[in-house]
Amino acid sequence: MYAWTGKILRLNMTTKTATIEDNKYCKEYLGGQGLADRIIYDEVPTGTHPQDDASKIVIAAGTLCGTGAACSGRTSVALMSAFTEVPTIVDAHMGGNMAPQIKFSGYDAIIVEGKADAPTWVKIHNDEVSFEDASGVWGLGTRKTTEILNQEAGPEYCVCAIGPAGENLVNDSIIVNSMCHAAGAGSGAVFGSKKLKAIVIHGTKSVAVADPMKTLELQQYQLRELIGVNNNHVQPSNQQSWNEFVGATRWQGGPGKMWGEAIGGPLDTGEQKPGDINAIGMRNHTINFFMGNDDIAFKHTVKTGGCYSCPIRCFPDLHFDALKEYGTQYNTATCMTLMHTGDYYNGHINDFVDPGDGALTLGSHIQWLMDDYGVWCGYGDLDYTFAYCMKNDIFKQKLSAEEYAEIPWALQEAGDPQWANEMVSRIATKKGEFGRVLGLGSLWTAKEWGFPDSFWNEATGTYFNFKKGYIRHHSSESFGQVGGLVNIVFNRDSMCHTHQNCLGNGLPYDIVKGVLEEKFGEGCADKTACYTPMNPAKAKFAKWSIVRNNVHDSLALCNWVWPMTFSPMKERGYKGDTALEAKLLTAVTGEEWTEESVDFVGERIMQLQRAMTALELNSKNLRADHDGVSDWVFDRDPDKAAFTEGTTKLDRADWETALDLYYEEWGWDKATGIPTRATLEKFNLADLADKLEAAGLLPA
Amino acid sequence: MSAKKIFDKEVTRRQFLKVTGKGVAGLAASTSLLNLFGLTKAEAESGAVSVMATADGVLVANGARCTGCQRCEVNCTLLNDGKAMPYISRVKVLRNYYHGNDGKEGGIFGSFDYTPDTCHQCEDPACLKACPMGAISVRESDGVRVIDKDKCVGCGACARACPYGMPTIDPETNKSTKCVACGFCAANCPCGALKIVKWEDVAAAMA
Ligand code: SF4
Ligand code: SF4
Ligand code: SF4
Ligand code: SF4
Repeated sequence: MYAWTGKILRLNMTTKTATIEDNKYCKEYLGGQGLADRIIYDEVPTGTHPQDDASKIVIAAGTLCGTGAACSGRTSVALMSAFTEVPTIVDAHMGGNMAPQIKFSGYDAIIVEGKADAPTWVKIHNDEVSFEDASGVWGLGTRKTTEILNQEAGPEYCVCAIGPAGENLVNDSIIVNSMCHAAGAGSGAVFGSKKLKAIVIHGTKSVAVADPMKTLELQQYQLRELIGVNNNHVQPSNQQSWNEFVGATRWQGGPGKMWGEAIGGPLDTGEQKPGDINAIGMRNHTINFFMGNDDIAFKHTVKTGGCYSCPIRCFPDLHFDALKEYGTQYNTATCMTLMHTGDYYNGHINDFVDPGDGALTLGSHIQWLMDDYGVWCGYGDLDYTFAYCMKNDIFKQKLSAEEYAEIPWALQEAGDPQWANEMVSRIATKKGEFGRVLGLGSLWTAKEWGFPDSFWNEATGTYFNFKKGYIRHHSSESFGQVGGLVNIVFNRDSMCHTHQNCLGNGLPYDIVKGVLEEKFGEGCADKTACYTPMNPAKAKFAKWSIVRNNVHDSLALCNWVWPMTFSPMKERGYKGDTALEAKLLTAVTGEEWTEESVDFVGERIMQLQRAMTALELNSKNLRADHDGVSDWVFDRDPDKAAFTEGTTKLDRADWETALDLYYEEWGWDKATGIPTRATLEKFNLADLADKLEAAGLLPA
Repeated sequence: MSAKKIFDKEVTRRQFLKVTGKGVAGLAASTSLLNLFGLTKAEAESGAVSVMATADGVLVANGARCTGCQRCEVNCTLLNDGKAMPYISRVKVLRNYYHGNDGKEGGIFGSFDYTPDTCHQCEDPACLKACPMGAISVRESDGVRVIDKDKCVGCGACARACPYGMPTIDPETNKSTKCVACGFCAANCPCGALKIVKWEDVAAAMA
């Protein structure tokens, strides 16, 4: 078999046994997220709490993982959620090196089930699997754990570990590999409940590729002609010798843009002409894009880093002398948490060495601690909840006087790094009500501390989904209804970047519009804050965004870089190639795949998730019970009317039309938003239809 | 390739080895060579750079630019073995990636200092001398040390003998793999961390 290994490794923590089984879902679900979701559906009873005995977690590699495809190093994880009202299917993703090592060990996925009676780590080397005593590393952070387990297993092993947050069953917890690549959604607590401290894995097998020369040729074509940087940004933020446009993009590198702390002295990232493969990795600098501030992030950059097999390198490797005394001087991260220093410090940020370096330095320190303690930020959910508590004096009201007095707020006011240690460690160890409640996630924090509905509805535009416990992720501010519709289908923040990658990519709006309209029809892509009423083309764009996101998470390619919708090349009219996934899949598997047949699998995965969600919510009407939107979406900018220039607000009646058209695209019942039997059967999901029917949830 | 050219190469190679005789830092004195290799003086002096005088040219591995993507490893095996199998790659990054080349201070869990390991195409190759089957030889056309797969029995003597731990026995074919200086890893390194600079260009830079 090419590309797939055709095998799944099952780890039973109760019996401490490992079994190797056949993967019967290769073609139907591709791998990654599709495979992981399907296994959860097959094996975990509806309603199972993620920390119950019956709960499982699936860690899956994609079809293209290990084949050398660009950005194919991501790992998909499926589990049940604890941060939502009831346990629902959620996926979590991490980059780094885990998935390729699963693949090179001979597996498409790992299923973890059962519970060990004592702390355990699992060592995997190809077919050799052993359950080891983890009492020596229990309680340690993820970095120290990695160091120790690498010493035991070998320096080339990938360590995927939990920190104290996972051990203490904190809802907002992660599993993390390769320093900083984390999957969130409470995956740490699932490991913790199974007393699984880490999976430590190194594989020495091959991944068979049907047509290696074609695979290499397609890769070179992609790297020469199609790839830009993270978020599919395709023009630099600076004028180089070749670029027609200069945009506010993540393509921050260029002549004179230096990795300031490079080994051997400042390193000029230089010209990065499309076609020059050897300069691709010098282009991206996400943190500098966000921080600006006179290239402050470049100044602290040693080099860049990122996931296995990815040429983009979206993780800057940063160094701060000022953090040496805290042991956090070297860090690597992309965006969230690091961008939210002000939230955790309630605005108390001071300079460390250079003017204006406070937010970056402190932010990096917090991020380091979050990854080490294994706390999940929920794409800013925790940051926002915390800032809300500060602003509204919630801690003073809800904590006991003794606890409030015991918390060293003076450190926060002083902008002292030690504040972050206090805050993060309290959450990770559930210390006091402060620690226990903040780690529950926004929904449960809001419930326990009685937040008013304005928490969700506030015009800051944080929670697109009303009272769901997860934050917007490129919602209506990204192509209006399109981003909004993308945001309603998942059970956590929508991690879909397909649509977002078409925004702010450095090309003028007219070019972007031209390329997208060719795919989805006229009027699919409104200019930001110049929105128009809903139309079928927007529904198609939104649906494709999700479908392709699922395809990427199953292959598994990085949806922050893929699809290749645009190109940096003027000669191509800046048009990319959205059939490249299918071409690569054909080359590596030796089977004929088309854009349509790949997208069909991507759609199947959404249909499966949607039906699972209806079962989990026991809902006859997902439109009402799941897809609700917060008021700010329609009420922001009170002085402006929807669909006038200068506002991203939507219109309530138009949103109902949007849902109608969107559900129609998916083949979901218009009134309830639940897939019909015909739709489910089209995707070979008759078993889901039967189950919905038995539960009385299938639309008539 | 003409005999004359090989002779020229040998002269250049010897001249070059003289310049770098006391290690890479020797390079720092030659601006033209630094330019040719795309290195700064400070990089050459930092210890993150390795410069190998191979038969085909000079292989420069610059740890300051290496970002650990491991694309070189998989590309090496896709091209040379027709499958994706980083374990047998002739350029090795993963083993240095997490904790550095010395397994201590560097790597992504440390100071981010790590450098890809490459075959030195040794003047007096230990791998060749160790092989009981005479499977390793100096390719006449370009002087690269290559393995004759038909003769190799996968005994692993070359892997044990190599002071740099470069050859790997492919457990799926039971044959040794070692670098054939094809340059594919370098041509596709997204960060310009690997470079093969032709002897002709080196000669010009030293003239
Ligand atoms: S391809 Fe280049 S940057 Fe990537 S690991 Fe190899 S040498 Fe380093
Ligand atoms: S394999 Fe080792 S001994 Fe042989 S030429 Fe390469 S570096 Fe030298
Ligand atoms: S593994 Fe092959 S090439 Fe290496 S020493 Fe043994 S026979 Fe020779
Ligand atoms: S030069 Fe060729 S054989 Fe040697 S490591 Fe690079 S790709 Fe592999």
